[in-house]
Amino acid sequence: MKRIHFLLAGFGVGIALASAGVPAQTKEIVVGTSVALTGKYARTGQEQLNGFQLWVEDVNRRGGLLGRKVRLAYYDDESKPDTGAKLYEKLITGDKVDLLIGPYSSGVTLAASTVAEKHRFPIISAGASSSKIWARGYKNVFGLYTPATTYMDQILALAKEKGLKRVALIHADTAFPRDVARGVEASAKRLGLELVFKEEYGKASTDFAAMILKIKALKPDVVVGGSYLPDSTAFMRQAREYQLYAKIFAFAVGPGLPDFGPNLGAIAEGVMGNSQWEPTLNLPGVKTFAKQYEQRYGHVPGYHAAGGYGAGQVLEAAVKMTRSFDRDKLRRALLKLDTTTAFGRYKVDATGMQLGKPGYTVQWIGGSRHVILPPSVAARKTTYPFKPWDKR
Amino acid sequence: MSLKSIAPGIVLALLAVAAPAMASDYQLLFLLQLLMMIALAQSWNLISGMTGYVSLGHTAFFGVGAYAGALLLQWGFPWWLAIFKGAGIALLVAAPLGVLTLRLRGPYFAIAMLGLNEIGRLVATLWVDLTQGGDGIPLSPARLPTLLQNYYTMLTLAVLATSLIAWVRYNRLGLELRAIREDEEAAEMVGVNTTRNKVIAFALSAVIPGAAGAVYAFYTSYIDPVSVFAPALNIQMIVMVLLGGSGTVWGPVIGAVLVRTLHELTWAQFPALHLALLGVLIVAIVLFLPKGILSLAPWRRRVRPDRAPGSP
Repeated sequence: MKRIHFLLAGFGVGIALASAGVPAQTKEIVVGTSVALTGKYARTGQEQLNGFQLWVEDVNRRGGLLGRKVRLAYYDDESKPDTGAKLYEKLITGDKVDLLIGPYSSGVTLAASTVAEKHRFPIISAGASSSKIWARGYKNVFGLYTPATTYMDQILALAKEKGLKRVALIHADTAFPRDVARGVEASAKRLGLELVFKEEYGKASTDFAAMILKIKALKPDVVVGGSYLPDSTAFMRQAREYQLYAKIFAFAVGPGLPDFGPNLGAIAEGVMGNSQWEPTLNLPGVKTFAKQYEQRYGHVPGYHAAGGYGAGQVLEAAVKMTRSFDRDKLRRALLKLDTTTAFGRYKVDATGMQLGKPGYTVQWIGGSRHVILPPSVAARKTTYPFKPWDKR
Repeated sequence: MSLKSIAPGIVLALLAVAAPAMASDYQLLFLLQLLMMIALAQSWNLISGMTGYVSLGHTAFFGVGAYAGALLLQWGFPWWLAIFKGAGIALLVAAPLGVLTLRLRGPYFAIAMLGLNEIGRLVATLWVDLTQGGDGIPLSPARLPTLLQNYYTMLTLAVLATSLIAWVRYNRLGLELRAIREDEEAAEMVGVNTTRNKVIAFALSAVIPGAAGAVYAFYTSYIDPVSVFAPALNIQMIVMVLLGGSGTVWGPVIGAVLVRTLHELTWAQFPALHLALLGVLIVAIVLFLPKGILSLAPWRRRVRPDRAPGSP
C-alpha cells in the first residue's frame, strides 16, 4: 500500500500546485498578457514588457482607468505557442483579468488568440503582423502592427508621384516576404504601375547575379524587395557590381535595421526600407515616450517597446470611449476607434486588422537612416533619385 | 501481475478521469500537458529505457503526428480519425527506419535519431506548399475538439503508454529487451532475435508520440516546425525517465509529475531559474541517482530482473 500513497501524494501535489494561482480581487483593474521572457524572443519580449510597464506607470499617474488603479498581470510564455495558449486560459479563467494584451510573435499570437476568441474576450495584438491572424474570421483580435501587405504602399505612391512606371519585384519564399509581395502587386495595380518582373528566391539565397542581369535588361524604374537583412545586403552589393540602376531601391526588412548602412558603406546611400516605428517619428507623444523610456531603462527604445506602450494606450482609449469594461462594448469600441498613440495611428478594418498605421519609410542618407515617408511624420526630406553608381 | 501491483494505476487513472469535474480550464490544461509528458516519457522509456538505445530524436514522431493531425483536420477529417492517422503515419515512418538505424550501436543510433528530428524540422520548414513553412499552420476553431475531448484523449494515451510498458516489462519481450541493454552480444548468443525485438520496441515507441503530437496540435490550435520538432521536448522526456527510474513502469510517471510540478511552481516567479533547475537536476540525477527515484524505494529491492517473467 505504501506505493499507492507515494504515487497518490505525487499526483495530489500536482493538482494542488496547479490550483495555486492567486486571483487578485481588489478594486484594481488587471491587464493580462504573456511575455516572452525566455526562449528565442526573450530579448524583444523584455523590451515589450518594459513598454507595458511604462504605460501602467503613466496611466496610474493620470488617475488610472475610470478612476481605478491598473495592475499588469503577466507570465513568461517561453516563446512557445502552447505555453501561450495555456497562459491566456489562465489569465481569462484563473486570474479573471479585465483587459487583455496579446503576446509577441505571430506564432504565439495565433495560438493565444484562439483562446481569446473562445471566451469572446477582445485582445490587442501588440507584436504580430502576419495576415493569417486576421484571415480566420475571428472577431476579437485587434492588430497594432502595420500588416506586411501595406509595407511598400508609401514607396509605390512616391514612385507614382514621380511619374515612374516600371516596377521589378523580388522576394524570399517565406510567409512575411510573400505577404509584402502580395501587397506590392495589389498596390502597383491600383496605382497603374507596370510590374515588369517578379521572381521568388530561397530564403537563404545570397547569389542574385542571374536575377540582376535579367532585371537590368528590363530597365525598371523601381526595384522592390520583399526581403530580410542578408539578402537585401547581398542584392545591393551585386547590383553595384553589375551596375543595375533604378531610381528607387527599396527592401522590406534590411534597410530598416542599423546594420544595413555599416555593412554596405556608400552602396547603402539612398536605399529605402520599412519600419514599424522609429524614435525619431514626428508624431505627438513619440519623443516624450522615447525620452522617458531611455531615462528609465538606459537604452533607446525599439519598436517592440513602443508597440507595448501603444497597446496600453489603445486599451485606455477604448475604455475611455465606452466608459466601461464590458467586453462586448469594448469590442465594438475597438472596431470603431480611430486614435493616435506613441506607436502611430490605430484604426482597424472589420476583421480587426490594422489599416490606419502606414508602413513608415526610412532612407539611408549620409550614413544614417531617417524617416522620410509619409511626409507628415518625416524627420527628413526624401533624397531622390537614387544616385548613379559612377557618381558615388 | 497481481491486483495489488496495478491498483495504484487504477486509482490514479480514476482520479484523472474525475479531474475535469473539479478543475478549472487552466488546471485541466496543466494536467493535459502533464499527461502528454507521461505519454511521451513512457514512449521514450520503451525504446531507450528498456534497450539502452538512447533516442535523441523522439520528437520527430511527435512532429510528424502533429503535422499529420493538423493537415488531416484541415482537409476535413474528423479529429479522432486525424489522431489515429497521425499515429499510423508515425508508425509508417518508424518501422522502416528502425530496421535501418537499429543496426547501429552505441552513440550512432542516438546521432541518427537526432538527424531524423532535424530532417523532420527541415521538411516542415521547406515544403511550404504543404506545411506553410516557417509560419506554421493555424487550425480553425470550428473543427477543433473541445478541451475536454483533448484531455480525455491525452489521458487515454498516457494510460495506454503506461500499460504498454507494464505489459512489455512483465513479458518475454521485456526480458529480452533488457537482456539487449545489459549485453547485446550475449543476448544474441542465447537466441534472442535482437534486431527484431529492437524494431518492435522502436515501432511501438513511435505510435504514442505520433498520436500525442496530433492532440498537441488540437489543444494549441497552432503548430510550426520549431515548436513540434523541438529537441528541448526530447530532453524533457529523458530527464523525466531518468529521474523516476529508467526501464520501470512508474518511474516516468513520477518523473513527469515532479518535473512538471517543479516547472509550474518556479516558472511564473523565476522565468530563467526553472531552466537552470532542470540543468542542475540532470547533473544531480546522473551523479547521485543513476537509477532514478524508484531505486530509493525499499520495496523495490526484491524486484530483480531475473525474477521478472511470470513473477507474482
